[in-house]
Amino acid sequence: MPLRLATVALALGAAAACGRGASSPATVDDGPPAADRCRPDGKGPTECWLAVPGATLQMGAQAHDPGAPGYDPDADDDEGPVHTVQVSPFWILRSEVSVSTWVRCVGMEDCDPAAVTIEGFSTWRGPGTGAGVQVPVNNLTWDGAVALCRSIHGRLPTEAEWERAARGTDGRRWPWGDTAGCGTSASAGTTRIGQAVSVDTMALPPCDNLGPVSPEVLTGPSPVGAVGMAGNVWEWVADWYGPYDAGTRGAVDPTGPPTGTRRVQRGGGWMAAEARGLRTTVRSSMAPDARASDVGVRCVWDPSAGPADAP
Amino acid sequence: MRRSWLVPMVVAPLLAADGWRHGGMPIWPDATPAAPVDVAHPAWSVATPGWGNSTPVRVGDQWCMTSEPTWVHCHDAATGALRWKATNDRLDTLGGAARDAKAAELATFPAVDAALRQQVREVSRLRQQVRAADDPDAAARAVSAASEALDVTKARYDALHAWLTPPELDMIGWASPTVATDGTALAVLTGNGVVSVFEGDGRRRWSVWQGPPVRPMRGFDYGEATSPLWVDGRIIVGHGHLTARDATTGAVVWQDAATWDHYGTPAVARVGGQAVLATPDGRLIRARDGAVLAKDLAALTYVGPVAQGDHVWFFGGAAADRPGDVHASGWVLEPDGDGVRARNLFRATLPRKERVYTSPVVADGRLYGLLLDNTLVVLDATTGAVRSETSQETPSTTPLGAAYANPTLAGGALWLVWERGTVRRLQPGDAPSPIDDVVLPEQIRASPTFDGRRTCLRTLTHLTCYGG
Repeated sequence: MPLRLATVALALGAAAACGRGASSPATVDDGPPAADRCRPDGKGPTECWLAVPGATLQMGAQAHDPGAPGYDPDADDDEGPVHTVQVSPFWILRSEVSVSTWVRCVGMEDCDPAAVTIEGFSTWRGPGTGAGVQVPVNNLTWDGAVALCRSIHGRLPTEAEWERAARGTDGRRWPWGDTAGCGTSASAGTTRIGQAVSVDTMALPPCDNLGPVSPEVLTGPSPVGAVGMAGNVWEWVADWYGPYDAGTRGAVDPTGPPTGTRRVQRGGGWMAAEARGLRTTVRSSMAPDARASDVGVRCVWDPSAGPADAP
Repeated sequence: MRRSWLVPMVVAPLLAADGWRHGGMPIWPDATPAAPVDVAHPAWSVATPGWGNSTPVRVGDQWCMTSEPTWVHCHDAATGALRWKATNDRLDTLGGAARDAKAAELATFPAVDAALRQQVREVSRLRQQVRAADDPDAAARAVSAASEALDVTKARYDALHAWLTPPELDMIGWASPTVATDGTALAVLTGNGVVSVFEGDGRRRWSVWQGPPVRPMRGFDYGEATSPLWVDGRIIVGHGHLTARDATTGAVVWQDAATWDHYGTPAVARVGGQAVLATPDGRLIRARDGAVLAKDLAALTYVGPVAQGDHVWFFGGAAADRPGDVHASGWVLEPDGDGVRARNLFRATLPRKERVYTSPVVADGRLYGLLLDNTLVVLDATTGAVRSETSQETPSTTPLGAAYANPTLAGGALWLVWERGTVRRLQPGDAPSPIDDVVLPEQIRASPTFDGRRTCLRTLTHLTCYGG
């Protein structure tokens, strides 16, 4: 059961060498160190922590009744039923976890390099590479994602937390709003699938991307300021995949089914040919030991986590 | 969002018996350019095969340069007519049957590209079908397996792609390095990592691949501006690692261990009869064998030092510096046994909020440096004392934009050239005063060059000579 910042107060000691977030001792308000928090002016490191206020929200979508809450004509059956959940405050990374952070984790021996494959579309090219690379790490197993988040005092978000961060509380279809598209503009030597951006942005990348991209080139932040929550890489979450059943409706900080065979992935990835596949309510899943080049991770802060914790 | 895409460009060459920028000083002592430049009536103007930043270099009776993406081309100096052009691609490093085989392999790239994209769509389709599958676990595993197969295809794609002519790249591009020459042949480096020597008539002497494009280069997606040098029969190339190659064969003579991550070009000093390279990161390296003779003289990210005989000057800053400080230093290199020691003349800091993207020019005891905010700084070249700092922006002139061309001395004047096309001549001295301005019809990043009474300017898509 993930810890809830609203209910737990911890005095945190320094963790001198646990990758990102280790620059100074954690604060007593259960959040990440001040130096690691995102700045209001948007400057500073991309991989910073964003505060997400607690909220009650409608989770999911349905394509059956235009007059009912959560109507989305593109919704798949497993995106429903639409149900109300209450999510406590938490902190989430503004961007997907980068190769650079992965490299530090491997270097500290907190991450198993075998959790990531290194050929083809892999953004990490093996030991000795990737320092400073800000493209999301991909081809990552669920177990690898857990260890990676732990190394930066984090954990995987629950599916409810993820949707809270991506969608806000107004039920939008994409993190930036209710319209999306990808176009045919050129960009420096690469083309982009699945990097759906708002039509309000300056340029729409083409719809035939190849590979994850750096968060600096993504636009359309979510209501809480996170970038890349649609497209780029699917993001592992903590939950086992299963229907939204009676056990999750009206729940406070739901964590999904107790067991399963596949873990949930959210947000869509760079392979998506259409923007509908990148909506905030779309759910995908894979076995925990599976990996794909359009799968990565975004962590939430967990003051009780750290690289010394046992799996 | 990308960082600033402003980049320093390469320097105008000296008349080149032993290579571009011998001593690294853009001074044309024999030039007598007609002035002011008669922009409306060029002697000739020709289009280049592609757009480009590199400064033309005189090779015999030709002007030679590079253009995007990997063109090298030479023009008749009298008429501008194209004498020859060639590519500087990785495929050009092969010859005979090997080249034919690789070309045939590369011809399959469109099919591999199409197959890759089809596989991507298939993975996406499989993923969408998982939830509706009779056996979702098996379907999910199929997605993972298909993704792994996709990675195999991507590896094949990458292997081919690495040999293709790269698509044009904005701003820095692949062809910013200026060619080097021994007076009759020319050496070329393009950002794809290919190094070549061509004979003056365009025959390829050799081409080698020195390694993949440098990416990212201090935050830029590709981009190379370090120019090769031709020094005592060696081609000195800053790509990946500073490397010296035999000018006749292309074989590596020595390679420096440090990663080369600077935009500037080394300067060549002469000390005790030997050539010594002064690198942007403040080291002195013997050109003959790559021995590091001194270090920590300075740290420049965006420009290179300049040299004249046994004197070396650094003017600029490093990316790691507190933003905007401009550091200047002067050194005299003296023999020290088989090596060299550097005796410091001065160190000076100009606390500014600005970068330096052009190397300075030193003459008559003065160092002329241009800051990115278009302040012309004149220092005493021996003491570092500031003689003047003068903004070149005036209310009555067209906004200048950025300058990538190096301050240049020719015909008794100091020439400053800005990207938006303003060419300004000033009277050299402690407080240079403007003589005249002209505005070119096209953007320009290359430094001015001269040929007797002619002024030759390489704008983005043209080479034009005026006067004479």
